[in-house]
Amino acid sequence: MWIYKKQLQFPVNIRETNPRLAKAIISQFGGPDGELAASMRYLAQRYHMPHPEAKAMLTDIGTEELAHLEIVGSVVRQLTCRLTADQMKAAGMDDYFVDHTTGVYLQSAAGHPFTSAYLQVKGDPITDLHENMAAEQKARATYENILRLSDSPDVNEVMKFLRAREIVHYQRFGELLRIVQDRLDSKNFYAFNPAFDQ
Amino acid sequence: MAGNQHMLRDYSLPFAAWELRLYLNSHPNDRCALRLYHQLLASAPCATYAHTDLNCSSCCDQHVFGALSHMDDAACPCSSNLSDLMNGWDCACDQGDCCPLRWDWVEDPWPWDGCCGSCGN
Ligand SMILES: [Fe+2]
Repeated sequence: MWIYKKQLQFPVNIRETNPRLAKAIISQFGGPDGELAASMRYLAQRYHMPHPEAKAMLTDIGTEELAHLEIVGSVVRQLTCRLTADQMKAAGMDDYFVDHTTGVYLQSAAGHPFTSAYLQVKGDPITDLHENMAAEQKARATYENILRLSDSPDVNEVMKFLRAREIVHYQRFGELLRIVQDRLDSKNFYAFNPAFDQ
Repeated sequence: MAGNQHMLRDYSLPFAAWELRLYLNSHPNDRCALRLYHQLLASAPCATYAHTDLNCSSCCDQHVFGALSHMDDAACPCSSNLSDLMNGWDCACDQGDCCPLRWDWVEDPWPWDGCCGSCGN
């Protein structure tokens, strides 16, 4: 189970609204390489992991991604609060406004709703850990693209923190992959699924 | 409270402890990291909850800054109440005890294992 702490993992204090930037950043809320997909991927992959280190890491990183989801939602909120319909329209956000007003919806920058098709649970620890390493790289690249689009120092501080976390998570998943491969049965020459072929 | 101390108390110390957690998940036998983790845990929650009426007395004072600048061989203080407050996880060592040999967060069983784990074997 989970316990909630009434505090962001990294502080978010954005002084200026910017609906156009919010529409880009919302991709890390509910988009293909976003934080919800990351969290659900890791928390769902825990069940078939054969080694306790992997169960622990997926639990903890999956939990941290929820904290990141909350940070991204806070950024989107602060970039769009107190806006009028005219300001939303002027920023090209009238299509979002008509469906969600200034609520924070789980969607990509292009408006696609969140789907679990963004992630995979293959049931093979080696396959899944490779997916997770790729996912961390994709999230890092997305934060870099956001940094290229943004000229807001308040936003950039937060994006740089989240980008750095993707790098650490990538490192930790790489270590897990090594642990799983080191513990393969010595007769499993071809690294068949160690969670299924006993 | 100065901005720096506020950041240290509310963000930096809990973050440093969290970062060590992830590291320990893949290096559960690294006792240096384990000891630093418990030092941070002993200091961060006291500072974090200092504005409440919760009783967190001596453990925080000597460790808030010390844990970041050096590690000595003293037994790490570790109060399960305070670590519960911080993150909701059980403390791995008993109060007044020294740090354990191993990061036992990674030990089986996990709640979902049931008889898919080792029971009945
Ligand atoms: Fe991540």
